[in-house]
Amino acid sequence: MRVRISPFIWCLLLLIVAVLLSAAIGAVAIHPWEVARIIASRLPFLHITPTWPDTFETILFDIRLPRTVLILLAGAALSGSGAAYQGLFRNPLADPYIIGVASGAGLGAVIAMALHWPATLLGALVIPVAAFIGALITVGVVYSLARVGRATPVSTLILAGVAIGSFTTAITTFLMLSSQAELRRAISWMLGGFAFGGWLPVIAILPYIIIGLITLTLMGRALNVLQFGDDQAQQLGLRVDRVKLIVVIAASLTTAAAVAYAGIIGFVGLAVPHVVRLLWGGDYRRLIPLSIIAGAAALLLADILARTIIAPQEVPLGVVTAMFGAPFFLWLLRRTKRQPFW
Amino acid sequence: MLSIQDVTIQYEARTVLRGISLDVKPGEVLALIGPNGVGKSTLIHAISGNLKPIGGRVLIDGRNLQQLPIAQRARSIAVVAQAVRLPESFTVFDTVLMGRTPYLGWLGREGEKDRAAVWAALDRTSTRDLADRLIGELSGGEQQRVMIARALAQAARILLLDEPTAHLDLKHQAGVLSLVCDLAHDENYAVLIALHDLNLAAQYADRVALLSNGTVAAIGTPEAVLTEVNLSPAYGLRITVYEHPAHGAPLVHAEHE
Repeated sequence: MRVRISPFIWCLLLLIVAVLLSAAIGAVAIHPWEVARIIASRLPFLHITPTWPDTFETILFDIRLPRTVLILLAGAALSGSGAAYQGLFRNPLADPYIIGVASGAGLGAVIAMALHWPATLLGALVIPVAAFIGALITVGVVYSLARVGRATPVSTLILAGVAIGSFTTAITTFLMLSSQAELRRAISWMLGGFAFGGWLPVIAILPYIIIGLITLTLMGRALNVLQFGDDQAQQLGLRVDRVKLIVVIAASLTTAAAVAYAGIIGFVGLAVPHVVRLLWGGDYRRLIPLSIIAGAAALLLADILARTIIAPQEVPLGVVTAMFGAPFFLWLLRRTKRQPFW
Repeated sequence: MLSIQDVTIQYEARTVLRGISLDVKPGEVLALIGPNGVGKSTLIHAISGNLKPIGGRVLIDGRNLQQLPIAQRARSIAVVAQAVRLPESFTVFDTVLMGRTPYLGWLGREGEKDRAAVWAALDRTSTRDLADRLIGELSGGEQQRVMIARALAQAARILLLDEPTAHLDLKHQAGVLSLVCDLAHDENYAVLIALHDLNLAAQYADRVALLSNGTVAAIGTPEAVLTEVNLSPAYGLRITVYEHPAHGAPLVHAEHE
């Protein structure tokens, strides 16, 4: 296996640009170069003399960067788990949003918030776990509904995902409307806005996302073998059931962590792995890590758009991703109709 | 050596095969023939361990297949599946490299030894030139050679092939089957091959097993099994068997009713 470096460098460069822009753009504009210098000044061993006002640091470290990092993590999680679900279901239209897992995670998170508002770090850490349980139940139900014999056809997977997704979203909405003001803030969260400030959400989802994404990256070779079908994978000595279980758990965990504080953001997990696949091929050992990096960059760029398109008003991030992602989804759907086996 | 002893298989609540017994020895090609739906593929699935028989056992060098760990199984038996649509996005080299799966742990990376096994398998199947091509772009005959290369990379001594020549033209049929025969005769592989075409079975197999009504109706040399008396009832129509004018192998012909 020849490791090609260049796709990783491309994706990382894109991510760095996206991070700097994300932190630079806002009511007070800070030049991206200044952003880079301010961040660098906080790193050890680099001695950079401050030439910027103190308020810049406050804006950057207390307001902008927490949001930037949260979106970065959410984009990485949704895109990485989207790529993994596609490999798992051998279906290019699988995406945490389309198969209903994101909505299930949202319901789990909202139930947990309704029971106990996350004011402390411990409380905040529990929300992703509740979302994870919601996600696992949803993926189990959708998979068993969508399965026809030994295959998971595109049509039944989407139908089951949409139905279960609508159902869980309905319960979530009902719960929100019948609760008090604090929980209603989650309405903007549901649409992919950000109801939480500060570093608490970032710290709360970081461990889950790191564990999940590392696991998915390590499963790349097994996912490759799985593309030949369960029978062949088993004949090649792969423990198919165990691989699938690990991938489902890791992908659902990352999705759930992202949804818990960044909300239900659709189509990132669909579009980004697809572009990566078109550019650099469908080898999951590369596809998953590249989707993670590119997904982080893509969601940051979508967020910049969400903040600037009708500034000072903000468009919910989920709306922006749907505006680009849904047409992409339809294009893919038309394209896959010609490939009966997908 | 592969030994199937009194195997009974149910598939979707229906008993498909009953009391099947046969041996495949190293160095021989045993062809599995019989009408559509008789259970040739089902038997191959059972031998590869994908389907669990409800009775009897499959032995590999005297050890019960069901009791072997899955990686161990894959080091003993390699399967070339019926020509199905392959995933498009892998190169030939990477596809064949997947044959090394039973030798790699969960997080193991392929080493020099694995790569050497892949190049040897590509050479043996004359597919070295295709190494960097995507398998989705290959012709059916080339794909089938690549699947055989993957089986060779698996370094298993028993090869199971399920209708490897379906959808191939005459030239590629001959190419694939002579390769399989050479593997058995020159390199001592034990080969079990499900074949649709009786004349190919007559030409390439050392022994033939005729499946009919869920049992082995006849087993032996092609001359002994491919007879009008055996074939006509199994296929439910009048069959005439001639002798090949050049080398005397049976030549099977279905008569119009």
